Amino acid sequence: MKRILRLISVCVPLLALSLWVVQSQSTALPTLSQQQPYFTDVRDGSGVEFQHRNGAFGEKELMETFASGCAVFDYDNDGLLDIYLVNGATLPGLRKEGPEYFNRLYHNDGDFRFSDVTLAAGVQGQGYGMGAAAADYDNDGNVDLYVTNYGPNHLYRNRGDGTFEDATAKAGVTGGGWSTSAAFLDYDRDGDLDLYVCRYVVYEIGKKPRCGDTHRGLLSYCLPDLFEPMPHLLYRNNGDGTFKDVSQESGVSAVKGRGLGVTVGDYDNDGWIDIFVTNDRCRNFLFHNQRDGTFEEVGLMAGVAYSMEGVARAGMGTDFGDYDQDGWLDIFVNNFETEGAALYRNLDGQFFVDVGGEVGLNEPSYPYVVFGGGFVDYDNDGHLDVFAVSGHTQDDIEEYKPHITYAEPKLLFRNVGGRFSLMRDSSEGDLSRLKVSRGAAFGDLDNDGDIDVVVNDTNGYPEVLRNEVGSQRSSLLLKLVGTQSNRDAVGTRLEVRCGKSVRLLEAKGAASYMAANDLRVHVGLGGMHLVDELTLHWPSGKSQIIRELPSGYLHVISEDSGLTKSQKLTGH
Amino acid sequence: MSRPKGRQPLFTIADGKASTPQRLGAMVAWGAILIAMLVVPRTPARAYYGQDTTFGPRDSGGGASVRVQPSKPPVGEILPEPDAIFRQARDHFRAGRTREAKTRLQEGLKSYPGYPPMHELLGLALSTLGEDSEALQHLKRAAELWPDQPVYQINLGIFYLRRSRAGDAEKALQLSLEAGPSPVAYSLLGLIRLEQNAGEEAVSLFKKGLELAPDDARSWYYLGLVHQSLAQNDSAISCFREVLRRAPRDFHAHLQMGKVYLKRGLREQALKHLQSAQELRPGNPELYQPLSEAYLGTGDLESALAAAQRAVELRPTDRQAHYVLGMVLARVGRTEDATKEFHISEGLPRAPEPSALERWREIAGQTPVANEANP
Repeated sequence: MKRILRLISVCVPLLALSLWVVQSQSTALPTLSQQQPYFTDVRDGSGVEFQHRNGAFGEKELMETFASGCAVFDYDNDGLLDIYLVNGATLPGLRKEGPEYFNRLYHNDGDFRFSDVTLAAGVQGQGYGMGAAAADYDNDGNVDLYVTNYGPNHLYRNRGDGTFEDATAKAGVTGGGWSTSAAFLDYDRDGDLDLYVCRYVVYEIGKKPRCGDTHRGLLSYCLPDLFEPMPHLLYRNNGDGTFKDVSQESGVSAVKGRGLGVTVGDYDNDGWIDIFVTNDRCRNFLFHNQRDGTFEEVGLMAGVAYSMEGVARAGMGTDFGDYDQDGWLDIFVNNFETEGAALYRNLDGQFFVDVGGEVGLNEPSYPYVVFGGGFVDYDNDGHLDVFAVSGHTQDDIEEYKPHITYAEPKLLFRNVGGRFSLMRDSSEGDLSRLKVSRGAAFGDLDNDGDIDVVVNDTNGYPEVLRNEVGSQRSSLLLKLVGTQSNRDAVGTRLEVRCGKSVRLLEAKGAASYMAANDLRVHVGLGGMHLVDELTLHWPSGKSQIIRELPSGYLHVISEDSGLTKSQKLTGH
Repeated sequence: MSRPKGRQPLFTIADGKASTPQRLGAMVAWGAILIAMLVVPRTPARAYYGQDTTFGPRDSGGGASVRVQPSKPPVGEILPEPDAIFRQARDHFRAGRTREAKTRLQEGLKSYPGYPPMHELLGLALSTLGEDSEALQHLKRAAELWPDQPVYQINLGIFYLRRSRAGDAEKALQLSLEAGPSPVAYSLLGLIRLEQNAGEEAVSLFKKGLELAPDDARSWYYLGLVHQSLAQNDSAISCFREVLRRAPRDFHAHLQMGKVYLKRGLREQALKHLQSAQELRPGNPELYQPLSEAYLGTGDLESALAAAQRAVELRPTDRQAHYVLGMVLARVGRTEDATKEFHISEGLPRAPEPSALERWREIAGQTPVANEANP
């Protein structure tokens, strides 16, 4: 007994010490919060009644989990961005057997009210829809629409009277196989928009292996590694409403990849637009424009093919943008769960380094499968922020990883001096709501000078996210009208000088995931109310300087005539 | 089941029918041992996690430790014969004479088949000799005979974990925790949870372990790996910093610290730690790839190239090593050589970063399972 007591006398102080250690080690995690929501989903009651259907019928066909994208573009030239939402189809038939499978075009009636004009416009689509690209390929002043499919794609030519004609066959851009994201760009600088189409894998419905946990009888979506990657497509615009497939002669089809995302921009500042493509579990492509109608794939050499350790990730949504304002376009890439987002900082127009971890993008995105997204100056402070949407690919992921959910939140990062802070919405906020999001399209839907977001969610209602904070700061929109250059001015470089700061922007023909963004250029101005000097370098080679552009306006700038119109933005 | 001969011990081992006061006394005694282990865990931590010398007293500056004397149970009396046999065998075992230990224990168990420490030690000896099937029988037998002895369950858990039987390991470790809190059990369960993609739960378990044994450098190390694998880089850095406070010359911590700093883009700091790691183990094949990246990030292309070439030399079939060499060659303008390296890289299979559990196996697998808590 004495021995026991002696031991207890030793134990008690040790226990006390243990408890003290427990107390002294408790730490509080830093949290970010805010009072006002950054974005509010205003779809309910807006007239956007679309509901996405992926046609799942129990066999876990792979396209079900990648669909679908969306677009924001002004199809009727009334100055307001309309919304196009891509839909799936029945499986295994791949047919839009009822209106519930139609793609939908919603006319923007103003004040976040929308009318369904799908049937009148004739853009309900055919087959299993994946993504959309929108631009004026025939330079007639009306934005056209290209819809990618699992199966033949469709080019809808905008007649300018509120209707579209299916110009696919005439244009020769059917594609085939499994197309995903597409980009309009004028790679040969001949004044009309060419078309790049990403393709995913060689896949035949009903012929995939059975994947999942066979012991537990779980059938799941197969990993893409099981399927052969496809060569991608490049169509050169002949200028007469037709395109020529130049995939081979341009060098684009020399490499194969499981393409999911594409963005275009002049990363080496040589005046010729280049192409960046994200691939799923194989290396990303950076096609350097060799100025002679051909491209050289330089992703490996430039350091954007893989992670810094040389590991292929599951690249999805992507965007070019000069986040650090050093005059070189950087590349943002969304990746899979446990990979985190990448931000390839452009060092010198030749080499990139992934600074995703360094700038704070990698860690918060690490738990999620992030699809659509890109650079957006959501708060109009003049710095490119990042907005991304996520949702797992496996609808039964909880069976394998109980702590991971199929539906996931949105990610909003604020750029503060080149570092990104995750902006946490309140738990009831619309960014926090868990969704299975895929395509995300960015644009100023209400012309109030800030960027709103449209998100297409798999097997769910889309989200129309109204920006609630951007209009607190000044900004302006630029609508560029090419004359010698392509009408939408895709590829035009803009140097925006406000006081001593100079920023590089570019009119882009593609970004995000299977989506088409506002073709207008948005310029956040922070506390400034004037752009002192705007220098435009049009794809034609022409340069133009416009001085003293006030904030709070949509400025229309013509390649020939310069500033032709300034229209006040709402709320300014 | 036969009972050890001679005087009646304080608590009955063979049939588990100890009286309540006997059990209470034993519990208190073992509680004291365990708490001592938890609060000053260097010895048991080294024992459980393997004898990685960098965690020994020398590296940690010879910090004070309370060593639990395992040769006798703290209370009660054990029959002299089995105790003597056990001690002889244990001395053999500790001196690396595992076969002698095995023989002595097998002989002893013929006379005292219900004596749990002998089963336990024999299990450990057989495990060391690679006789897994028999080892497991004895480890299980020891745990059956003394079910509320947490250390036996932990050793069983370790045995399973080394052999990738995470489910069995989890059960054993849970049983050990039912008998009493243990930093080792928490840490090992943390590794299992991480493997099960329950990262946050893994972190929580490690933290529980560290609350009990805040000076356990190895637990800090593994928690750092857990944070690292969750891309929680700042937290990982804090953990590795804790390791280095206790073991400033710990190679593993310097290496991982270097890697995490690289992820965070803090290249100068990364370089400092990777250079320290290089000093400690210049022949380590894992070191040179991140070292090359760090030099590349700091603009020292010449050193980056040398490190990348060394990485390839040490790991000629490593895809990533060739990739990094390609990157460096590209940066120094040797495009053709870079292309060659990229080509080699693309032809090689990907070698994924070892998981925290794999790293544990790598370190713990070098040495026998622990026996420090045996009487």
